[in-house]
Amino acid sequence: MNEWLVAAIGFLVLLLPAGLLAVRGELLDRVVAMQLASTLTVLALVSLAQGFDRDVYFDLAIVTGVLSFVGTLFYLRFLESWL
Amino acid sequence: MSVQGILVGALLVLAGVTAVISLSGVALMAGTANRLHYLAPVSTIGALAVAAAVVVEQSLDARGIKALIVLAILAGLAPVLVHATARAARVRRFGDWRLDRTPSRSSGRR
Repeated sequence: MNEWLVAAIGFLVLLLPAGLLAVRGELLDRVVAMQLASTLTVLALVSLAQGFDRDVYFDLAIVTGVLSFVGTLFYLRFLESWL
Repeated sequence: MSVQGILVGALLVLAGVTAVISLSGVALMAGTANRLHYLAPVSTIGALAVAAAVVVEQSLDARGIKALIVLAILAGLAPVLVHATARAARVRRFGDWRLDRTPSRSSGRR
């Protein structure tokens, strides 16, 4: 196990409390926790890509970063107006 | 262990520390506005540290460039999300995001 996989495990472990925060508390506090969780996910995917020595996994991190941004923006727009 | 390996390890530790700081802030701070501030460390310093670690190990090949793209996405788009979240919180609380809440004819959107 190299240092990248150790870092990925660290990010994934931190994902658990972030996920817990995302299901508890007030609505917008959950959104903040969700944003933190998506950032941690992207960093974990980059670490896993480097740790497993696979180029393709970097694309997954890029796509996850972009899609989580767009999804959160849509969600926030709905929170503003309708939810 | 080479200097390169030590540098990569130090950058990854830095990324992990910033992630812990962000998580602690989001968990412990009171109120959405206070919590929002703690998204910044992991999406800027943390992402920068991970991207720098990839570039140190790989130089600027395909992986290094992709890591820099990830850094640009995280560090560039996080402020937009923070702004959108603060705006949504304000709209939910006051009904409008502007300081002057008199209705404007020029803008039909909230």
